[in-house]
Amino acid sequence: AATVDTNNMPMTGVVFQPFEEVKKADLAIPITSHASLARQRFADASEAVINEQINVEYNVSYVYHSMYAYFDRDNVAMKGLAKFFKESSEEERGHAEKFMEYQNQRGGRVKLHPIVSPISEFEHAEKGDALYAMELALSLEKLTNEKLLNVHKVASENNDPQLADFVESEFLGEQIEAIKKISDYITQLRMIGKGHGVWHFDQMLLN
Amino acid sequence: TTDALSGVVFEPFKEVKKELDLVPTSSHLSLARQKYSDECEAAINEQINVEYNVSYVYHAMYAYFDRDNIALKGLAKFFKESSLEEREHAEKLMEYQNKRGGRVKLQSIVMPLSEFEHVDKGDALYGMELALSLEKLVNEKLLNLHSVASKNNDVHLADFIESEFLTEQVEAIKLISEYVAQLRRVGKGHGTWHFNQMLLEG
Repeated sequence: AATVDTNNMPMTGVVFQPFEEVKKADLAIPITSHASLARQRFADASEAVINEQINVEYNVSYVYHSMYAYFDRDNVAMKGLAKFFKESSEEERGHAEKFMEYQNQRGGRVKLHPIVSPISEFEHAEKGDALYAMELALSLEKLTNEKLLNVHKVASENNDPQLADFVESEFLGEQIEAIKKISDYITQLRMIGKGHGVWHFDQMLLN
Repeated sequence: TTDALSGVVFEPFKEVKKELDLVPTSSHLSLARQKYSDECEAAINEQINVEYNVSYVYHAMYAYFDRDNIALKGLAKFFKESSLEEREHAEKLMEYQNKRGGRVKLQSIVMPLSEFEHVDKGDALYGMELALSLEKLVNEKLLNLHSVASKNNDVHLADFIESEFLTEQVEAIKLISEYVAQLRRVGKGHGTWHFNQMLLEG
Protein backbone atom coordinates (compact mmCIF):
# COMPACT_ATOMS: atom_id res chain seq x y z
CA ALA A 1 0.00 0.00 0.00
CA ALA A 2 2.24 2.76 -1.25
CA THR A 3 0.10 5.74 -0.54
CA VAL A 4 1.59 9.17 -0.25
CA ASP A 5 1.37 10.70 3.14
CA THR A 6 -0.08 14.03 2.16
CA ASN A 7 0.75 15.43 5.57
CA ASN A 8 4.35 15.49 4.45
CA MET A 9 3.68 17.67 1.47
CA PRO A 10 3.64 21.07 3.12
CA MET A 11 6.75 20.26 5.14
CA THR A 12 9.86 21.96 3.98
CA GLY A 13 13.16 20.16 3.69
CA VAL A 14 11.66 16.86 2.50
CA VAL A 15 14.15 15.66 -0.10
CA PHE A 16 13.19 12.01 -0.48
CA GLN A 17 9.67 10.67 -0.74
CA PRO A 18 10.12 6.94 -1.11
CA PHE A 19 6.50 6.01 -1.75
CA GLU A 20 6.15 8.70 -4.36
CA GLU A 21 9.38 7.88 -6.16
CA VAL A 22 8.88 4.13 -6.16
CA LYS A 23 5.79 4.52 -8.34
CA LYS A 24 7.92 5.40 -11.36
CA ALA A 25 7.40 3.11 -14.34
CA ASP A 26 10.96 1.84 -14.58
CA LEU A 27 10.77 0.53 -11.03
CA ALA A 28 7.57 -1.43 -11.74
CA ILE A 29 7.83 -5.13 -10.93
CA PRO A 30 7.12 -7.36 -13.94
CA ILE A 31 3.98 -9.49 -13.75
CA THR A 32 4.90 -12.10 -16.37
CA SER A 33 6.86 -15.05 -15.09
CA HIS A 34 9.12 -14.91 -18.16
CA ALA A 35 10.75 -11.64 -17.16
CA SER A 36 13.39 -11.23 -14.51
CA LEU A 37 12.24 -9.55 -11.33
CA ALA A 38 15.70 -8.53 -10.22
CA ARG A 39 16.86 -6.88 -13.44
CA GLN A 40 17.71 -3.20 -13.02
CA ARG A 41 19.71 -0.96 -15.30
CA PHE A 42 21.24 -3.93 -17.03
CA ALA A 43 21.71 -3.18 -20.72
CA ASP A 44 21.06 -5.71 -23.48
CA ALA A 45 24.57 -5.00 -24.74
CA SER A 46 26.01 -5.98 -21.35
CA GLU A 47 23.92 -9.14 -21.30
CA ALA A 48 25.09 -10.10 -24.80
CA VAL A 49 28.75 -9.41 -24.13
CA ILE A 50 28.64 -11.59 -20.99
CA ASN A 51 27.21 -14.47 -23.02
CA GLU A 52 30.05 -13.95 -25.49
CA GLN A 53 32.60 -14.01 -22.68
CA ILE A 54 31.11 -17.26 -21.33
CA ASN A 55 31.75 -18.73 -24.76
CA VAL A 56 35.33 -17.39 -24.87
CA GLU A 57 36.16 -18.94 -21.50
CA TYR A 58 34.52 -22.24 -22.42
CA ASN A 59 36.39 -22.42 -25.73
CA VAL A 60 39.73 -21.77 -24.04
CA SER A 61 38.90 -24.42 -21.46
CA TYR A 62 38.30 -26.88 -24.31
CA VAL A 63 41.62 -26.06 -26.00
CA TYR A 64 43.44 -26.61 -22.70
CA HIS A 65 41.65 -29.93 -22.27
CA SER A 66 42.95 -30.93 -25.69
CA MET A 67 46.48 -29.89 -24.67
CA TYR A 68 46.16 -31.97 -21.51
CA ALA A 69 45.30 -35.00 -23.63
CA TYR A 70 48.25 -34.36 -25.94
CA PHE A 71 50.86 -34.12 -23.16
CA ASP A 72 49.38 -37.15 -21.41
CA ARG A 73 50.11 -39.39 -24.45
CA ASP A 74 52.58 -42.21 -23.76
CA ASN A 75 54.88 -41.08 -26.58
CA VAL A 76 54.87 -37.48 -25.35
CA ALA A 77 54.85 -38.21 -21.60
CA MET A 78 55.11 -34.74 -20.13
CA LYS A 79 53.05 -35.30 -17.04
CA GLY A 80 53.80 -31.88 -15.58
CA LEU A 81 52.49 -30.06 -18.64
CA ALA A 82 49.51 -32.43 -18.75
CA LYS A 83 48.71 -31.54 -15.14
CA PHE A 84 49.18 -27.82 -15.81
CA PHE A 85 46.77 -27.81 -18.76
CA LYS A 86 44.25 -30.07 -17.03
CA GLU A 87 44.07 -27.62 -14.14
CA SER A 88 43.99 -24.65 -16.51
CA SER A 89 41.04 -26.20 -18.36
CA GLU A 90 39.11 -26.53 -15.11
CA GLU A 91 40.00 -22.98 -14.17
CA GLU A 92 38.68 -21.55 -17.45
CA ARG A 93 35.45 -23.51 -17.05
CA GLY A 94 35.23 -22.02 -13.56
CA HIS A 95 35.49 -18.55 -15.10
CA ALA A 96 32.66 -19.38 -17.52
CA GLU A 97 30.54 -20.54 -14.61
CA LYS A 98 31.30 -17.38 -12.65
CA PHE A 99 30.00 -15.31 -15.57
CA MET A 100 26.91 -17.54 -15.80
CA GLU A 101 26.22 -16.91 -12.14
CA TYR A 102 26.71 -13.19 -12.63
CA GLN A 103 24.40 -13.12 -15.66
CA ASN A 104 21.63 -14.56 -13.49
CA GLN A 105 22.46 -12.22 -10.64
CA ARG A 106 21.71 -9.26 -12.88
CA GLY A 107 18.62 -10.82 -14.44
CA GLY A 108 20.16 -11.60 -17.80
CA ARG A 109 19.68 -14.90 -19.60
CA VAL A 110 22.55 -17.27 -20.07
CA LYS A 111 22.89 -18.37 -23.68
CA LEU A 112 25.51 -21.03 -24.27
CA HIS A 113 26.94 -20.88 -27.78
CA PRO A 114 28.59 -23.68 -29.79
CA ILE A 115 32.17 -24.63 -28.97
CA VAL A 116 34.58 -25.34 -31.79
CA SER A 117 36.75 -28.40 -32.16
CA PRO A 118 40.27 -27.56 -30.91
CA ILE A 119 43.52 -28.72 -32.50
CA SER A 120 44.85 -31.98 -31.12
CA GLU A 121 48.47 -31.97 -32.36
CA PHE A 122 51.02 -29.61 -30.87
CA GLU A 123 54.21 -30.77 -32.53
CA HIS A 124 56.56 -28.13 -33.87
CA ALA A 125 59.82 -29.01 -35.62
CA GLU A 126 61.88 -26.04 -34.40
CA LYS A 127 60.27 -25.08 -31.11
CA GLY A 128 59.28 -28.48 -29.84
CA ASP A 129 55.81 -29.21 -28.53
CA ALA A 130 56.21 -27.81 -25.00
CA LEU A 131 57.31 -24.35 -26.13
CA TYR A 132 54.84 -24.29 -29.01
CA ALA A 133 51.90 -25.14 -26.73
CA MET A 134 52.99 -22.65 -24.09
CA GLU A 135 53.20 -19.91 -26.72
CA LEU A 136 49.72 -20.84 -27.86
CA ALA A 137 48.53 -20.67 -24.25
CA LEU A 138 50.03 -17.20 -23.90
CA SER A 139 48.26 -15.94 -26.99
CA LEU A 140 45.00 -17.42 -25.70
CA GLU A 141 45.44 -15.71 -22.34
CA LYS A 142 46.13 -12.41 -24.07
CA LEU A 143 43.06 -12.91 -26.24
CA THR A 144 40.98 -13.59 -23.14
CA ASN A 145 42.37 -10.41 -21.61
CA GLU A 146 41.38 -8.43 -24.74
CA LYS A 147 37.88 -9.85 -24.51
CA LEU A 148 37.64 -9.02 -20.80
CA LEU A 149 38.72 -5.46 -21.48
CA ASN A 150 35.99 -5.32 -24.09
CA VAL A 151 33.42 -6.47 -21.52
CA HIS A 152 34.70 -3.71 -19.25
CA LYS A 153 34.35 -1.19 -22.07
CA VAL A 154 30.76 -2.23 -22.76
CA ALA A 155 30.06 -1.87 -19.03
CA SER A 156 31.47 1.67 -19.04
CA GLU A 157 29.60 2.65 -22.20
CA ASN A 158 26.36 1.53 -20.58
CA ASN A 159 27.13 3.21 -17.25
CA ASP A 160 27.20 -0.08 -15.42
CA PRO A 161 29.77 0.47 -12.65
CA GLN A 162 28.82 -2.76 -10.87
CA LEU A 163 29.64 -4.86 -13.94
CA ALA A 164 32.83 -2.89 -14.48
CA ASP A 165 33.86 -3.57 -10.89
CA PHE A 166 32.96 -7.25 -11.20
CA VAL A 167 35.26 -7.61 -14.21
CA GLU A 168 38.00 -5.66 -12.46
CA SER A 169 37.93 -7.43 -9.13
CA GLU A 170 37.21 -10.98 -10.26
CA PHE A 171 39.03 -11.23 -13.59
CA LEU A 172 41.47 -8.56 -14.68
CA GLY A 173 44.00 -9.06 -11.90
CA GLU A 174 43.99 -12.81 -12.30
CA GLN A 175 44.36 -12.49 -16.04
CA ILE A 176 47.46 -10.35 -15.76
CA GLU A 177 48.97 -12.81 -13.31
CA ALA A 178 48.30 -15.68 -15.73
CA ILE A 179 49.93 -13.77 -18.59
CA LYS A 180 53.02 -13.09 -16.48
CA LYS A 181 53.31 -16.70 -15.33
CA ILE A 182 53.00 -18.19 -18.81
CA SER A 183 55.45 -15.61 -20.19
CA ASP A 184 57.93 -16.71 -17.51
CA TYR A 185 57.42 -20.32 -18.60
CA ILE A 186 58.10 -19.41 -22.24
CA THR A 187 61.33 -17.62 -21.33
CA GLN A 188 62.45 -20.64 -19.33
CA LEU A 189 61.51 -23.08 -22.09
CA ARG A 190 63.43 -21.02 -24.65
CA MET A 191 66.45 -20.99 -22.32
CA ILE A 192 66.66 -24.71 -21.61
CA GLY A 193 66.21 -26.22 -25.06
CA LYS A 194 64.30 -29.28 -26.15
CA GLY A 195 65.80 -32.42 -24.62
CA HIS A 196 66.82 -32.83 -21.01
CA GLY A 197 65.87 -29.22 -20.33
CA VAL A 198 62.22 -29.72 -21.23
CA TRP A 199 62.06 -32.91 -19.19
CA HIS A 200 63.44 -31.03 -16.19
CA PHE A 201 60.97 -28.17 -16.69
CA ASP A 202 58.18 -30.72 -16.85
CA GLN A 203 59.30 -32.21 -13.53
CA MET A 204 59.24 -28.73 -12.02
CA LEU A 205 55.57 -28.34 -13.06
CA LEU A 206 54.74 -31.76 -11.72
CA ASN A 207 56.08 -31.16 -8.22
CA THR B 1 71.32 -73.53 -26.86
CA THR B 2 67.79 -73.66 -25.44
CA ASP B 3 66.69 -75.59 -28.51
CA ALA B 4 68.59 -78.61 -27.26
CA LEU B 5 66.63 -78.67 -24.01
CA SER B 6 63.53 -80.74 -23.96
CA GLY B 7 60.31 -79.59 -22.28
CA VAL B 8 60.90 -75.89 -22.93
CA VAL B 9 57.46 -74.44 -23.62
CA PHE B 10 58.15 -70.73 -23.34
CA GLU B 11 61.20 -69.05 -24.78
CA PRO B 12 60.92 -65.45 -23.67
CA PHE B 13 63.86 -63.98 -25.50
CA LYS B 14 62.91 -65.63 -28.75
CA GLU B 15 59.27 -64.70 -28.55
CA VAL B 16 59.90 -61.17 -27.37
CA LYS B 17 61.98 -60.46 -30.47
CA LYS B 18 58.81 -60.14 -32.49
CA GLU B 19 57.45 -57.54 -30.11
CA LEU B 20 60.79 -55.77 -29.97
CA ASP B 21 60.73 -55.35 -33.73
CA LEU B 22 57.31 -53.82 -33.42
CA VAL B 23 58.29 -51.06 -30.98
CA PRO B 24 57.88 -47.87 -33.02
CA THR B 25 60.89 -45.65 -33.54
CA SER B 26 58.94 -42.63 -34.76
CA SER B 27 58.17 -40.24 -31.94
CA HIS B 28 54.74 -39.63 -33.45
CA LEU B 29 53.54 -43.13 -32.66
CA SER B 30 52.38 -44.52 -29.38
CA LEU B 31 54.77 -46.98 -27.77
CA ALA B 32 52.15 -48.47 -25.49
CA ARG B 33 49.55 -49.27 -28.13
CA GLN B 34 48.76 -52.98 -28.36
CA LYS B 35 45.83 -54.69 -30.02
CA TYR B 36 43.85 -51.48 -29.91
CA SER B 37 41.77 -51.10 -33.03
CA ASP B 38 41.12 -47.87 -34.90
CA GLU B 39 37.42 -48.53 -34.52
CA CYS B 40 37.68 -48.56 -30.72
CA GLU B 41 39.77 -45.40 -30.79
CA ALA B 42 37.17 -43.61 -32.91
CA ALA B 43 34.27 -44.87 -30.78
CA ILE B 44 35.94 -43.51 -27.63
CA ASN B 45 36.44 -40.09 -29.21
CA GLU B 46 32.74 -40.12 -30.10
CA GLN B 47 31.79 -41.01 -26.54
CA ILE B 48 33.97 -38.18 -25.20
CA ASN B 49 31.93 -35.84 -27.38
CA VAL B 50 28.63 -37.32 -26.18
CA GLU B 51 29.57 -36.83 -22.52
CA TYR B 52 30.85 -33.30 -23.16
CA ASN B 53 27.66 -32.33 -25.00
CA VAL B 54 25.47 -33.64 -22.19
CA SER B 55 27.61 -31.76 -19.69
CA TYR B 56 26.99 -28.57 -21.69
CA VAL B 57 23.21 -29.12 -21.77
CA TYR B 58 23.19 -29.62 -17.99
CA HIS B 59 25.18 -26.42 -17.58
CA ALA B 60 22.48 -24.60 -19.57
CA MET B 61 19.81 -26.15 -17.31
CA TYR B 62 21.72 -25.01 -14.24
CA ALA B 63 21.67 -21.46 -15.60
CA TYR B 64 17.94 -21.67 -16.33
CA PHE B 65 16.92 -22.86 -12.87
CA ASP B 66 19.24 -20.32 -11.23
CA ARG B 67 17.35 -17.36 -12.79
CA ASP B 68 15.69 -15.03 -10.31
CA ASN B 69 12.28 -15.51 -11.90
CA ILE B 70 12.61 -19.31 -11.80
CA ALA B 71 14.44 -19.65 -8.47
CA LEU B 72 14.51 -23.44 -8.19
CA LYS B 73 17.88 -23.54 -6.42
CA GLY B 74 17.75 -27.26 -5.72
CA LEU B 75 17.33 -28.09 -9.40
CA ALA B 76 20.06 -25.58 -10.25
CA LYS B 77 22.40 -27.34 -7.82
CA PHE B 78 21.44 -30.76 -9.18
CA PHE B 79 22.19 -29.79 -12.79
CA LYS B 80 25.37 -27.90 -11.88
CA GLU B 81 26.70 -31.04 -10.23
CA SER B 82 25.45 -33.23 -13.06
CA SER B 83 27.27 -31.04 -15.59
CA LEU B 84 30.53 -31.48 -13.72
CA GLU B 85 29.96 -35.21 -13.45
CA GLU B 86 29.47 -35.61 -17.20
CA ARG B 87 32.62 -33.62 -17.84
CA GLU B 88 34.47 -35.99 -15.52
CA HIS B 89 33.17 -38.92 -17.56
CA ALA B 90 34.57 -37.28 -20.67
CA GLU B 91 37.90 -36.81 -18.90
CA LYS B 92 37.96 -40.42 -17.73
CA LEU B 93 37.53 -41.53 -21.34
CA MET B 94 40.29 -39.13 -22.43
CA GLU B 95 42.59 -40.68 -19.87
CA TYR B 96 41.67 -44.17 -21.09
CA GLN B 97 42.26 -43.20 -24.72
CA ASN B 98 45.81 -42.20 -23.82
CA LYS B 99 46.31 -45.30 -21.73
CA ARG B 100 45.67 -47.47 -24.75
CA GLY B 101 47.78 -45.33 -27.08
CA GLY B 102 44.88 -43.74 -28.93
CA ARG B 103 44.71 -40.06 -29.75
CA VAL B 104 42.13 -37.84 -28.14
CA LYS B 105 40.24 -35.79 -30.70
CA LEU B 106 37.86 -33.27 -29.17
CA GLN B 107 35.00 -32.48 -31.53
CA SER B 108 32.67 -29.52 -31.72
CA ILE B 109 29.98 -29.06 -29.11
CA VAL B 110 26.56 -27.87 -30.19
CA MET B 111 24.56 -25.05 -28.69
CA PRO B 112 22.13 -26.33 -26.06
CA LEU B 113 18.59 -25.12 -25.38
CA SER B 114 18.35 -22.26 -22.93
CA GLU B 115 14.60 -22.19 -22.25
CA PHE B 116 12.90 -25.06 -20.45
CA GLU B 117 9.38 -23.72 -20.02
CA HIS B 118 6.50 -26.06 -20.77
CA VAL B 119 2.88 -25.04 -20.45
CA ASP B 120 1.43 -28.41 -19.37
CA LYS B 121 4.32 -30.01 -17.58
CA GLY B 122 6.00 -27.00 -16.03
CA ASP B 123 9.73 -26.42 -16.34
CA ALA B 124 10.92 -28.71 -13.53
CA LEU B 125 9.22 -31.79 -14.94
CA TYR B 126 10.10 -30.89 -18.51
CA GLY B 127 13.77 -30.39 -17.58
CA MET B 128 13.85 -33.66 -15.67
CA GLU B 129 12.22 -35.59 -18.52
CA LEU B 130 14.80 -34.15 -20.87
CA ALA B 131 17.55 -35.24 -18.48
CA LEU B 132 16.10 -38.75 -18.41
CA SER B 133 16.10 -39.01 -22.19
CA LEU B 134 19.69 -37.74 -22.26
CA GLU B 135 20.79 -40.32 -19.71
CA LYS B 136 19.13 -43.06 -21.75
CA LEU B 137 20.84 -41.77 -24.87
CA VAL B 138 24.20 -41.85 -23.09
CA ASN B 139 23.45 -45.42 -22.04
CA GLU B 140 22.66 -46.37 -25.65
CA LYS B 141 25.96 -44.87 -26.74
CA LEU B 142 27.87 -46.68 -24.00
CA LEU B 143 26.29 -49.98 -25.00
CA ASN B 144 27.27 -49.24 -28.57
CA LEU B 145 30.84 -48.62 -27.41
CA HIS B 146 30.73 -51.94 -25.58
CA SER B 147 29.60 -53.76 -28.70
CA VAL B 148 32.44 -52.15 -30.68
CA ALA B 149 34.83 -53.43 -28.01
CA SER B 150 33.37 -56.95 -28.21
CA LYS B 151 33.42 -56.97 -31.99
CA ASN B 152 37.12 -56.10 -31.90
CA ASN B 153 37.86 -58.63 -29.16
CA ASP B 154 38.99 -55.87 -26.83
CA VAL B 155 38.22 -57.38 -23.45
CA HIS B 156 39.93 -54.63 -21.51
CA LEU B 157 37.86 -51.91 -23.08
CA ALA B 158 34.70 -53.95 -22.55
CA ASP B 159 35.55 -54.38 -18.88
CA PHE B 160 36.42 -50.69 -18.51
CA ILE B 161 33.00 -49.67 -19.79
CA GLU B 162 31.26 -52.23 -17.64
CA SER B 163 32.99 -51.40 -14.40
CA GLU B 164 33.35 -47.63 -14.77
CA PHE B 165 30.25 -46.57 -16.67
CA LEU B 166 27.38 -49.01 -17.17
CA THR B 167 26.41 -49.46 -13.52
CA GLU B 168 26.59 -45.76 -12.83
CA GLN B 169 24.46 -45.11 -15.88
CA VAL B 170 21.77 -47.55 -14.80
CA GLU B 171 21.75 -45.90 -11.37
CA ALA B 172 21.42 -42.42 -12.88
CA ILE B 173 18.49 -43.57 -15.03
CA LYS B 174 16.75 -45.03 -11.98
CA LEU B 175 17.30 -41.87 -9.92
CA ILE B 176 16.05 -39.48 -12.59
CA SER B 177 13.07 -41.72 -13.34
CA GLU B 178 12.13 -41.46 -9.67
CA TYR B 179 12.44 -37.69 -9.85
CA VAL B 180 10.15 -37.62 -12.90
CA ALA B 181 7.58 -39.78 -11.12
CA GLN B 182 7.73 -37.60 -8.01
CA LEU B 183 7.42 -34.38 -10.01
CA ARG B 184 4.39 -35.80 -11.82
CA ARG B 185 2.85 -36.63 -8.47
CA VAL B 186 3.46 -33.33 -6.68
CA GLY B 187 2.24 -31.00 -9.42
CA LYS B 188 3.48 -27.59 -10.40
CA GLY B 189 3.01 -25.14 -7.53
CA HIS B 190 3.85 -25.87 -3.92
CA GLY B 191 4.73 -29.46 -4.82
CA THR B 192 7.55 -28.48 -7.16
CA TRP B 193 8.85 -25.94 -4.67
CA HIS B 194 8.91 -28.63 -1.97
CA PHE B 195 10.62 -31.14 -4.31
CA ASN B 196 13.20 -28.46 -5.05
CA GLN B 197 13.85 -27.96 -1.32
CA MET B 198 14.43 -31.70 -1.02
CA LEU B 199 17.10 -31.52 -3.73
CA LEU B 200 18.69 -28.51 -2.08
CA GLU B 201 18.96 -30.10 1.34
CA GLY B 202 19.66 -33.66 0.23
